[in-house]
Amino acid sequence: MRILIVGKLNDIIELSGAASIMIRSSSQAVDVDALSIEKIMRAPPEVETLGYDRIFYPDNIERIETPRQLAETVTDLMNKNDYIYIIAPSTKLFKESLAYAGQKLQIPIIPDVSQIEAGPGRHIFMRTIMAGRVRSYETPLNKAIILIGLGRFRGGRFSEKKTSFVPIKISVDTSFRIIEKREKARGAVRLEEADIIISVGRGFRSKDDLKLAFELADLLRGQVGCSRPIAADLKWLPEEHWIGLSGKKVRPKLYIALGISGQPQHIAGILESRVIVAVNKDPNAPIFKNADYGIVGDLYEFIPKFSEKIKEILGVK
Amino acid sequence: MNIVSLVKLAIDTGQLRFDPSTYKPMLHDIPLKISDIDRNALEEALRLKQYGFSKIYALSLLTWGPLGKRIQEAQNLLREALALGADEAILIADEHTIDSDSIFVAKALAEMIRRISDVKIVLAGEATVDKFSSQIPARVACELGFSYVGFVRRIEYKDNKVIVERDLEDHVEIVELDLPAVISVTREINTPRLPTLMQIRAAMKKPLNIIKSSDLGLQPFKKTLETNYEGVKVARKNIIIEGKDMSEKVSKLIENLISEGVIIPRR
Repeated sequence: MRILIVGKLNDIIELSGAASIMIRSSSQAVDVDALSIEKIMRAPPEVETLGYDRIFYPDNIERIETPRQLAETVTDLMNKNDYIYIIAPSTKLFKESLAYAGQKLQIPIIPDVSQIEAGPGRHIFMRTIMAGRVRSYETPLNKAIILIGLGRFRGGRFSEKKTSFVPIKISVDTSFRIIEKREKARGAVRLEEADIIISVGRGFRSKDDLKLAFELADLLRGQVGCSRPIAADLKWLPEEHWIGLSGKKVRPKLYIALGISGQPQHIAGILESRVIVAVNKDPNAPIFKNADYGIVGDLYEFIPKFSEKIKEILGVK
Repeated sequence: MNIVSLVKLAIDTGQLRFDPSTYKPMLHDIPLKISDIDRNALEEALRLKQYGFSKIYALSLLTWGPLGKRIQEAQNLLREALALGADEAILIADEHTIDSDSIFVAKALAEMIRRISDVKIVLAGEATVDKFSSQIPARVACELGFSYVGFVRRIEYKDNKVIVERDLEDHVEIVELDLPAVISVTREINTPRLPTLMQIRAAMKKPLNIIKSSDLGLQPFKKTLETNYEGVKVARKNIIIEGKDMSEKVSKLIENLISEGVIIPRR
């Protein structure tokens, strides 16, 4: 039985954690190959010792970057090696490329997997659908492509195998011409790792007022998040602050939603928070149904009072 | 030259209800709606029409059953797509489309698109609001052998080519693509219009065809996944903090946060 893991080198390290679950739950011997989408110049020691059988990498180009290139490379490897599972990160490039490959190979995809349950001879992959309100437990009846939300598994050595690095030729894709590639501005915002998040929504009256949230976040050593309208429509904050289904999914100890109504798409991004506090003027705002503690009131009145008391408690002048 | 805009008739997740004993979603009883991002796709199709496209087809495949109950509901929703500006609507629906998987859905949609003449662009939302799997556009492109680009937030059309801006997690790409192509779009691409009363009336006269998957020469699909849905129980405390003024409410909140251990007072 063979498994293929696809991703950048970092993903290949992290997803070895998923591979090891498969290996532990399988009665047969499992060999795990990987496809690095980036060229490998020198075998990195942290990857070499994990136990991969072969790691394929592009030889004639720096990286595989068009959906069709990636789809064709994976299809080709699948046809040669008959993998039972192909595992990759659940990010946009892999979602689309492997959907294309999945159609070629006539196999299903389970995206956004956040949990793997292993039973004898089968695996159940769990993902959350319907704006976070339904868990879908999916068991492949045969081969499948599994896309895993990053940050779920810790990588580690899963076998004693010695890894060989295998260069492969990638065909040129002339149908998809990348004219320009712009990195998104990346500040010090790491919402996925934050313990405390102060999140802002439409209840704020102006871009300028967001500094109230930033001050509060500084005080609590937290970070500032936001709902869709603030990042996507008003553009008061860069997208890296956006929390929700198409933004980031967060899991802080404390999530304080200020002036956020709580659309299902936003809720889907905060499900794993430990404690959720909501402040909103509208007593019927759906956010209250998804909060542990709610205050019905004006956030402009809440923030100064809350900051003042927090300062007392933390002994900050 | 024609455009096809894919329309998913999705479960309206805002109206989800759960069986009180099993806590499974009562999917048969929950209304459908046009998946939000597919409205953006249709709006973009309408915008692109100015470049000399003759017709916009709204194409849909019904996956949520029961068939007997949904068929009228599906037609009403496609009338809405017609009111928004599509010239013709096609609904693929029969017992085989209900609960079918994405391999089958892509085959059926592609087969229908092949039967519409001279399709240059197929548009769809980046994901549907119910299952959010983002698979169908790329799968359809694969079936048709069209170019494919996803997660697009801007489209520029220029003599049988498109230049698009697409949004990936950590970077933005500008890509040039030959037509025919399948393009998935994000919500940022435009603001979908609301139909006027005139358009709603006019929609009643536009063609809406129902096609069976067997008429497209498709074999019933073979199941590839065993799926089991369960409702997520909201385990939140839902405590609304009362108090005579904000100051009192804030004090009570902080006491609670301290006892939860999420705020640690300094001694």
